[in-house]
Amino acid sequence: MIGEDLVRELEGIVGPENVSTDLVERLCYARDASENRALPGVVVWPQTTEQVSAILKLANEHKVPVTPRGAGTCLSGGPVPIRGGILMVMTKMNHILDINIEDMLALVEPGVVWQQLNNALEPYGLFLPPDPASGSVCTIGGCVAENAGGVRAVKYGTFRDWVQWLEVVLPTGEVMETGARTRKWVSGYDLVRLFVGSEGTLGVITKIMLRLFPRPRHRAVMSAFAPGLREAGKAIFYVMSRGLTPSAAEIMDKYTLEAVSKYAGMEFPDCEAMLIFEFDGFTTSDVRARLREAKKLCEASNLKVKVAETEAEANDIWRARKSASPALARLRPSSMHEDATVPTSKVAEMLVRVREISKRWGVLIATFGHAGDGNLHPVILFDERDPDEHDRAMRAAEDIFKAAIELGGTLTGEHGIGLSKARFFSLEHGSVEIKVLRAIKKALDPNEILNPGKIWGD
Amino acid sequence: MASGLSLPENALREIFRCFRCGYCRSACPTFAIKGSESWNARGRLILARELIEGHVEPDKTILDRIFSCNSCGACEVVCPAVVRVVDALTALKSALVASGVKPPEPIVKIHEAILRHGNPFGRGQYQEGPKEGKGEVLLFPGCVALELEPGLIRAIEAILEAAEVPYSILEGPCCGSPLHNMGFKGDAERLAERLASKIRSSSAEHVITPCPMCLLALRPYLGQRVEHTTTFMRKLMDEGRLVLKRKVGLKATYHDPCVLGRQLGIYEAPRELIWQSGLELLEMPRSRANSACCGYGYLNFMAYPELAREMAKRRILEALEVGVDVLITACPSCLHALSEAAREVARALAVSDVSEVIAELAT
Repeated sequence: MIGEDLVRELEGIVGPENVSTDLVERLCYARDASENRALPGVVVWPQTTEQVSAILKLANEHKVPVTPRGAGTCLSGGPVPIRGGILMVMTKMNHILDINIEDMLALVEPGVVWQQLNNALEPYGLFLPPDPASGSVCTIGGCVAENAGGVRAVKYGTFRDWVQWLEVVLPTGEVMETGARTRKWVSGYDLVRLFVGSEGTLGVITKIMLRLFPRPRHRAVMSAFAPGLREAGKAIFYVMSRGLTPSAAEIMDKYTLEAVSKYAGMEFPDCEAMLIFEFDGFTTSDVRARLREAKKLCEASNLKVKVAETEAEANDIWRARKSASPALARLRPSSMHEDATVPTSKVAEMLVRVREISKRWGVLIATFGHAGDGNLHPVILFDERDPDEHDRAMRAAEDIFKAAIELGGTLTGEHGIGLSKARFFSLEHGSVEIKVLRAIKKALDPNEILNPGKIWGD
Repeated sequence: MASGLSLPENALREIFRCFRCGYCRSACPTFAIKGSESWNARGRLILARELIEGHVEPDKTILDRIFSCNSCGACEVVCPAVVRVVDALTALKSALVASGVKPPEPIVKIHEAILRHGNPFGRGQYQEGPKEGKGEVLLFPGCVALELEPGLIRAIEAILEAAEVPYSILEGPCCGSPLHNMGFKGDAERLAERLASKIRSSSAEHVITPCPMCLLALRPYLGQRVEHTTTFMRKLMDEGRLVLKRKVGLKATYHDPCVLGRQLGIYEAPRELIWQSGLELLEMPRSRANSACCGYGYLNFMAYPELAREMAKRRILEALEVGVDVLITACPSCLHALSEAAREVARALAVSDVSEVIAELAT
């Protein structure tokens, strides 16, 4: 429970209008896009680094848990305050502080929305390449804390690859700056990489410097239809291993296609899976040449290829992919979106295993996702109000994690461990590694106040 | 703990379908102003679940969150789970009212006024029968036009006269549509039924209304016999009965009313009328299905005046960004909202209903 005194002190730091203990607010801030739910004692909206620092100092003194939150689009429970305490909402720190065109860098506050930043970059012909699906609403702070990815990650990498420098408030309230403005640096430990993907457990990020990239002027898109999952996997592997660097290499299995067909009124050739490849670049000849090469490789794997000849045809292909989530969401009352990720060479095997798991537990699992980097999104479709089906869905999820690990993959490619996958963490990580992780946590957060209960659980 | 709230299965399905991705944060106009999660569709649906599961009592704060949603439907356009938020929250409001919960005070007053006077403004009864004679067209202006934007009715009359269309006007009773949105489902249906039966007894071939909410309420009863003034005017033009005598050479933008666009799918007719008028049409970044609510729909400006006024002001600022002389809309509530807001923040920006523009050029 949060005491009256603490609330008064918080009000003193950020002003009473930026503190709420109202049950209605606490209920709404108890959840993210995962199945987790836990009520904070108080919700706080800081607006400056100094305020964040003062809040953490206070919380550390009183040993009250603090959970940072951006837009709450997290799919793994990262911002769910499992131990109650203070929920720190970063959305009012939403200023783009600088866009440096010469060095291609942007300095932003954590509450800046991904779309807001990319809109601001557009006039300069620049962009921030990692593109989480929630880009219209998710915050840069959240993207950094969760090391978000997206469709383009297959070429451009995830947020990890684009963060240069950070200002972070440590759990003790001390403010640290780390990283460099230069592309190359070997000056001390890479603490930037430590904080990227730390899921709000090590510090609260208050300023972010991001590297930018020139916006590609051309793109070429094609779809390819595979007679079997193994053929689909093979085609992906060939395209990726030939150095063709697609800016998207997506897959939708036949269950996803059936749903999209019904939902968006689109027709697809009879197949087990549809692949989408997009190539971007600065000259048409370059993107076309890479596309032609990919076409040949797909056809050699027995896929039927359709190249988008016009912008409208390219948009149609993407419309099919973007309809995947809504189409599947209409099939059953509830859905669970996983992001188990395997090496590119194991995509076919993983697709086959997901089919087996679906059969084993009698739940519908449709798979789509970022096949090129092995980051699949098996979507488990069920009715959470049916306890038996809910249980089978959870078991299917567990088997998907196990399969990914067995194939040399990871529990999560871009959603984070959070609460949802904490109990599976030791499937992937040995005891020595977990000991090191805990030691790092203890060194920075001696009282374990910052986002406790996450990643490795208790 | 169960709440005793009884919602139809289809509404429950919609509420539980929300997987809380938060995409509605980019669209919800009340969230844009208030900034906290409880003011967007995700928050409201979380609260709906908590209410249904009995984890929370329907106190004033929670009722404000639920009832301040005026069903603009912007969230539905961006929702990847395609949750029918408007239907879900309307069903929740109805269930709350049916369970004996008293809605926020201004809504109680609107309800009482409509039941007692046949209109929300509580100023005597409207004429519940066509004023004069028979006509090809029966014009149902709706309460907002009658009370707050009478100039719009004069404009429609001028157009009908210019096109030599015989018409009569029906002032009341209320179409019930605000009450439906506020959770008084039974009363709303009774009113709509009563209005529909009055209209059925008229011999008019077409029933027209400038108010998208009246149109939405009447459609289930009268089908295509009732239509919006914009689609009717376009027909008159196509048939050569309505001829514009001159054109106007200004820059204009068009604000899609939520109900006319997202609910009724009427996007083209008003735009075609604008093109016919000679105005150069520049679109705002948020237009058509992505249009931003003016805040006034379903009498929300009487229930939540501050929120509604702020929404209207923000829309005016968007129109200014486009750099136009005129902001045009096609709904009495939007017209009233945007005119009031423009008077406050952008006096040089003219605000008109598309009917007013056409009337000006046809007479």
